[in-house]
Amino acid sequence: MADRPAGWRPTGAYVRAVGVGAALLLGAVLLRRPDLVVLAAPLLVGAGLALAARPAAGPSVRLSVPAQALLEGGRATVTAIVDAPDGLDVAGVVLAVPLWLEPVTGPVPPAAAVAVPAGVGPVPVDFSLRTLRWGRRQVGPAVLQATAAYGLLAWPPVSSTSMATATWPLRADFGAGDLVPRAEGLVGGHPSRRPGEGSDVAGVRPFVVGDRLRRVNWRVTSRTGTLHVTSTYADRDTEVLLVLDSRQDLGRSPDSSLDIGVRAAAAVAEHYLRAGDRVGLVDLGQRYRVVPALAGRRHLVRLLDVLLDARAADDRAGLALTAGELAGGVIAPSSDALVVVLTPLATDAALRTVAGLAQAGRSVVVVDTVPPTLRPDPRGEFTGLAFRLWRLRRDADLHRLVELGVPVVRWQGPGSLDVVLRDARRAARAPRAVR
Amino acid sequence: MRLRRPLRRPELRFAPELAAVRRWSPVAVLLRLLLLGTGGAALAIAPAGRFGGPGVVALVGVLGLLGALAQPHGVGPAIVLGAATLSWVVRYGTDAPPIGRTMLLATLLVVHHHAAALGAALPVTARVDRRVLVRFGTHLALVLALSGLLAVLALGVARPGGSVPLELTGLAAAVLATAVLVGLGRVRPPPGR
Repeated sequence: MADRPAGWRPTGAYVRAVGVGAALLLGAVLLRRPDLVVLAAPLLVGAGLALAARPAAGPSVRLSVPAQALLEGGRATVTAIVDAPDGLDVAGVVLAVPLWLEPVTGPVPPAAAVAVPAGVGPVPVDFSLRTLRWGRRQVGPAVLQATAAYGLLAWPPVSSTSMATATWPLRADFGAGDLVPRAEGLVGGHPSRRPGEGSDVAGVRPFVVGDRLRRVNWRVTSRTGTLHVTSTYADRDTEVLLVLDSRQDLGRSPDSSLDIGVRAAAAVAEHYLRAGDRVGLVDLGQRYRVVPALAGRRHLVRLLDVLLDARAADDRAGLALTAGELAGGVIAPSSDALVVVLTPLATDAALRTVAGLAQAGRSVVVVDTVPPTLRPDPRGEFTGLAFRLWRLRRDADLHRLVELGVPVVRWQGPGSLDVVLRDARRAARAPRAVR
Repeated sequence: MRLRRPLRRPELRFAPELAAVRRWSPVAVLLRLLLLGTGGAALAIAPAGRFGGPGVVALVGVLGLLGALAQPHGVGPAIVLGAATLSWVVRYGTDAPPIGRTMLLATLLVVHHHAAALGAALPVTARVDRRVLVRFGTHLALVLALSGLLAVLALGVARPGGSVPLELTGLAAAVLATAVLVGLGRVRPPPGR
C-alpha cells in the first residue's frame, strides 16, 4: 500500500460540517426557511473559525528513553516528544511496547492525547513503564495521530524511530556474608589464613620490630611486663568464576532456568565486585564471549552486557563449550578461584562439567537453577511419568555430586550462597587428591 | 470402570469487541455517551417527538447513531445530522417551526458534531490531557455564541416573500460560504516542499 502524501487532509468531520451546513443553507434559500439557517450556522461558523487558523507545518515525533540500564521490576519513563510549530488540537500518541515491558497503569499499548499550543516548542508526552524481565529490547515506535482545526484536518500518522533499552538482571540485593574458600589476592575484603593487616584477630604475640604501635595490646603487656601486639589475618581479595549453563532452558519466562541462572550470576557478580574481588564469567552457550576475571564497577557492566545476550544454546549449535574444554583450561581459572556453576543439571554434559571441575581440584559450588514451578507438559500422555523419572534420576545425580564434595544449592535470592560458601571453604581446606 | 469428567461451570466470557470496550478510557466512554444523548435527542426532537411520520428517516438515523457510537470517524454522525435535519424539514414543510425548538436542535447537532470530531481524534484507550477538552469546549462555546447572534439576525428578518433578487443573493451567499470553506479545507503541501 502506497504511503499517503504528507499534508493536512480534511477528515470526515470536515465533510460532515461543510456538506450538511451547505445543504441546509441551500435548503433555507430554496424553501425560504430561516430556521434552516439557524441549524446550518453552528456547523459553518465552527468550520470557518477552525479552518481560519489551520496549521501549515507538519508535526513530528521522536522518542526519548532512559540512558542508563533498568533493573528488573523497576520503572522507567519513556517520553514521546511531539513537535508542531503551528500547534495541534489533539496529538494522540500510541507507544508500541515490547514483551516484558508494560505500562504501569492502563492498557497495552499505552496511549495519550495532549494539545500542542502553537509556538511553545516541543511537548513531552510521558509513558511510565515497568520492566518485567532482563534483556535488550526495542521500545517504540511512537505513532502520532495529529489533528488540527478541531478535528476537521488530520495529518497522516507519523512514526518515530524505535529506541533500544537494556534491563539488567538485578533485582534484590544479594548478600553472602561467609568467607570465600581461599582468599588469594594481595589486598581485598576477605580474611585469609595468612597473618597481616586485617580485621580478624589471629592472636597475641610478642612485639617485634616493624609492628605498628596501634597494634600493641596494653592489657597483655601490663600483665606480662613485655610488649605484646594483637596479630590479625590479612584481608585479601579472591577470584570468582561464574559458569552459566545456558545449554538448556527449562520452564517458562520470566522464571525459567535460564532466567534464574542469569539473575543469580548477576547478583553474585555484583556482590563480589562490590567487595573488591575479581569475577570472571563463562557462558557455556557462548564460546567466544569468555570474560576474564577482573575487578571494578566497569567490569560489572561488561559482565552484565554478556549476560544480557544469554540465550538457550539450542539455536546456536556448535557454539557451546564442552565439559572437556572447560575443565581442560579454556577458562583457566586460578587454582584458588571459587567456581560457581549455575546450571539446571538437566543433562549428562552438565554433570560432566561439574564433576570435571571438582576432580580438577577446583572449589566448586553448584547453584541449581531448575525453577520450583517446573511442571510436565500436560498435553502428553506419558510426560508426567517421564518427568517423574527424570526427577528421580536427577536427584540421584545430585547425590553423586555431593559425594564428590560439591555443594549444591537452589537459588532462592539473597543469602542463598551463604551456607554453601561455608561448606565450600571447609572443603577447600581439606586435603584432596587431584586426578 | 469409566471415569466421569467433573462437571465444569460454563465460563462467562465477553465477546472480543466487548472486552476491548472495557479498555476504553473514561473520556472515550463519556464522549460516546454524549454522542448517544445528543444524537438521540436530535432524532427525537426533529419529528416533534413522533417517529411514526418519517419512520424510514428515523430508522436510518438510529442506525447512523449506532454507527457513530462504534466509529465516530465514520459516516454515522453525518447520517445522524442528515436524518435529523431531513426529518425537521419534512415535519414543518413551509411552516415556521418554534424558535426554542429550532435553537435546541441546532445546539444538539453542533454538540453531536463536535463530540464525534473529538472522539475520532482520540485513541480510545488514551489518557486525555485536560487541556484538550478545555480547548474543544472553548471552541464550542465560541461557535454557539456566534451562531446565536446569527440566529437572532436570521430569525429577526421577516420572510423575503418571494423576492427573486433576494433569493439569488441568498443562494450566492450560500455558494460563496461553501466555496470558502472548501478552499480552506483543501490539501496543501507542507511548507518547504
